[in-house]
Amino acid sequence: MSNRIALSRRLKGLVLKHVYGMVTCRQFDEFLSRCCERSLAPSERRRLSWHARLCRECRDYLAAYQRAQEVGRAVLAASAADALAPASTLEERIVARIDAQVASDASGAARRATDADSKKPFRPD
Amino acid sequence: MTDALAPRQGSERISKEGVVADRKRVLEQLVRDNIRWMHALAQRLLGDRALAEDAVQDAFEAAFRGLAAFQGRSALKTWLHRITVNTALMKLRRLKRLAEQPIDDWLPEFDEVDCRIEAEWPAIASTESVVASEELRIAVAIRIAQLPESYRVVLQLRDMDGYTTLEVAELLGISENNVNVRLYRARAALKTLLEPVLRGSLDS
Repeated sequence: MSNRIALSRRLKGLVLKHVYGMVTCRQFDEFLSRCCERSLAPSERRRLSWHARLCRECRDYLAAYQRAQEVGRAVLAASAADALAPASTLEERIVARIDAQVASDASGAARRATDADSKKPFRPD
Repeated sequence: MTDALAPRQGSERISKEGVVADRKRVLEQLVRDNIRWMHALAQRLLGDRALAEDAVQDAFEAAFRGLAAFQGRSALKTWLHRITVNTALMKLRRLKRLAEQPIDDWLPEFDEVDCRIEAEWPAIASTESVVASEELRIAVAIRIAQLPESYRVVLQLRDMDGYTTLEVAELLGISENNVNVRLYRARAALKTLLEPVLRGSLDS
């Protein structure tokens, strides 16, 4: 990085840090992360917008960050539509397995009921 | 749906075989109507077709066990959606893929005076142009898959499947604050991962 650019970055950093109402790029990032929790207060929103007007890096970052979310969502939605279909036998396998389980539960319950009956003390009429 | 499975009081003429056939018919219908989207959902969360099939099988078993208790307070699809997410997450936990992994290399960088380090963006690819190109869609999907599971799952559930922060926190067994932290880091990492696609410099 040339000396001139390094100096102007340093100057920008100091201005953003010390001028009232301004936020640094790092604070700008913290505001962005807070957007995940809640909507920002009007004063926070104003500070974000002032910062974005002054800072080329954060302006570019924000545009790319937002576009990445849009692209990610759109591609995931498209890939959900083209997802590989399950094996053709899966439907049958699931039905057979659940059906067998229900049948085994039912026969288990019947067996338990019979066992309980057989353990009842004999009472002659 | 539950009525078909409930014992039919007062209809003693219906044989046991009839009830069994009825139950099987309901089960077949339930599976047929929902298997494709449930499998697609499990596949997105697990990133693997065979694992997704296992998760769907477990989900249907859990759903069928709980069907009598399903009181219709939510739509059947919403209920099945949650069960599928739960079974897929259980698989991820069992495979220990939900442990938090470092993601720092993909997070924004700042210099010593807290100024952002960000190369210029003369142009950004439009969402439409990316979605229209199969090659770019694949490139994006591969990059999303590079996110560690613990972040990718939060991104998927919150940003795509429409769960609230509280619901994601409950599903993953973590705090709401942790969900928000992971969500922001996942979105920031996604921006870094998608840079070559968005800058149109995929081949370079």
